[in-house]
Amino acid sequence: MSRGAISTEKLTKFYGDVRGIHDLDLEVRPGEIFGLLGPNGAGKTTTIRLLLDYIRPTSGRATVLGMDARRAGVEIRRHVGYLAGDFAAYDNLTGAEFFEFLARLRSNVDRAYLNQLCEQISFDRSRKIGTLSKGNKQKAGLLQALMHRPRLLILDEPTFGLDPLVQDQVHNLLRAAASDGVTVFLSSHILSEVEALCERVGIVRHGLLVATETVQSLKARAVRRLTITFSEVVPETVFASLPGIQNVEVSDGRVRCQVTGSLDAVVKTAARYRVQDIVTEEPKLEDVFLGYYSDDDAVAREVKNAG
Amino acid sequence: MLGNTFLKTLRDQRISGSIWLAGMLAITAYVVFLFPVIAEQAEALNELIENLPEALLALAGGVIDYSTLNGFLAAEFFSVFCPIIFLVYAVIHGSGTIAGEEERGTLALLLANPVSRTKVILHKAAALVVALMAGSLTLWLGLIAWAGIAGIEIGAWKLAQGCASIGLLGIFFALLSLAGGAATGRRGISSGIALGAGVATYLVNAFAPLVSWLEPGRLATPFYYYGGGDPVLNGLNMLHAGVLVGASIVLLAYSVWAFERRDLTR
Repeated sequence: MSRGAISTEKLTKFYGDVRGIHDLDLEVRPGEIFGLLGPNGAGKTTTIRLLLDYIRPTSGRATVLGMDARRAGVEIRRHVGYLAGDFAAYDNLTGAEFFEFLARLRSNVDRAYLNQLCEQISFDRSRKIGTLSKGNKQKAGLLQALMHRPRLLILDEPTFGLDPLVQDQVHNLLRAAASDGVTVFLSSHILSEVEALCERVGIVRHGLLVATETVQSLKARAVRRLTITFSEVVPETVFASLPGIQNVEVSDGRVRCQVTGSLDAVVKTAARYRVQDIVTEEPKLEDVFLGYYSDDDAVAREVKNAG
Repeated sequence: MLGNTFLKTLRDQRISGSIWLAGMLAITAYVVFLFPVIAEQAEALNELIENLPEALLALAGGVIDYSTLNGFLAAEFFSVFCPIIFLVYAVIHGSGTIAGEEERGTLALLLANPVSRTKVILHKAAALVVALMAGSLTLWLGLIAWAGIAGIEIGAWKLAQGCASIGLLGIFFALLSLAGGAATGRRGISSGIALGAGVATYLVNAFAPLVSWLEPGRLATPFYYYGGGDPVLNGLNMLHAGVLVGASIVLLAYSVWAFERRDLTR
């Protein structure tokens, strides 16, 4: 028996010939916020659905809270809160009726805590769920995942499509839960979300776990696109030799470049000239994978040959 | 009505179910109040029927006496009409309750709770059975009540057995479409299979007395065991009722088995 909150051993799921996830070895430690990061179709939802016993592995196994996902599903779900990526609720029930129904099903709901949470994120329970906005519906989903004080939260793209304000509320709730000792396992295809919330990150692509990293080392690897506009002419060579810098283009006092890791050296060098503007783009998920491409492709070839 | 999955499933049917039951009361009124007009011409009708070609007689449900209300109900109402209203309701809700929830995405929500798939499907099956039994009871109460109001003599006990038989037929088809939904998660597939099976087996049973090579096939149709108008006239054949109950239990067991072992589609 594993002591991890989630632990998988060569967990594999094929849909016919299509790979959902292949040979996944994952270890989520109790109490941490772990992010599963990857583009759409990478296998994140497949992994989550395997953990919840919605779908059954082609091979390999998973344990959740020390119990076998396949055999102890009911007991596991007593202690797990789950929010689906395409969260669907009973549209004809009011929020209050919805929570009441789930509370009867679970019989381990902390109603005082639910009231407190509803207040905290100002959720109106008197309205029918079908009439709620996307953001409020997602709040209902999060509340049902939290209301029984689970030991483990499993969240599939918890803030996807939400406006920044609600996103912040969701992040705060998750941080609060984590500080109470709840393990949080979430999937996301947004790098900044994972960076803002998680301590460790698993990176999946094409059904393979490419790497497991701390957020710090992920940040160190992240490639940022940077554009600096100067109000004087800057010599081309000054930037080209800086550590971590690539693809430097200089034209008309404007420098475009890609920087891996810290921006410190670039900013300090730029500061020697008269700077008019600095624009950095949010690092793209694809750029995060740049550093992993080589070994990933090797694994992909290996799988192809094996299959 | 939100205490558990069983009650929630009944609650989900409260609007369509109420309309269904109200419609049944209206139709039973129509049929009962129509009867005196038919009874006046019963002698002529009976004579006509005895002289019908065999094929038409088979489709009409065989020789039946139009001079009593039970006879009239057996000939018209229980042979053709009741199977349709029970079959349609059974298939809509039988396929909707698992496959419908799965397609809407709420089945995953339900199963995120500490309940087993077996428990969910048993609760849902129980709700279907209760709804169809309510239908069969309403049918009986409606007929008795209208006959009382109209002052027409009615064989209440035989009629109860006929209503029980149509209830069993409805439950069989509800569990057939439940099984399709449990195995595939697709509402279209499960209702298509159940409706197709309903129409096909109805036709086989109706024509079997005329076509020698169809005759053995009758035994494989639920309509044969339902008995058409027969239970209303002669009482329930316990062996036949037992076959319907047994087949329903087999379908339920298959549903549990198939639902437990497959991947959810959504």
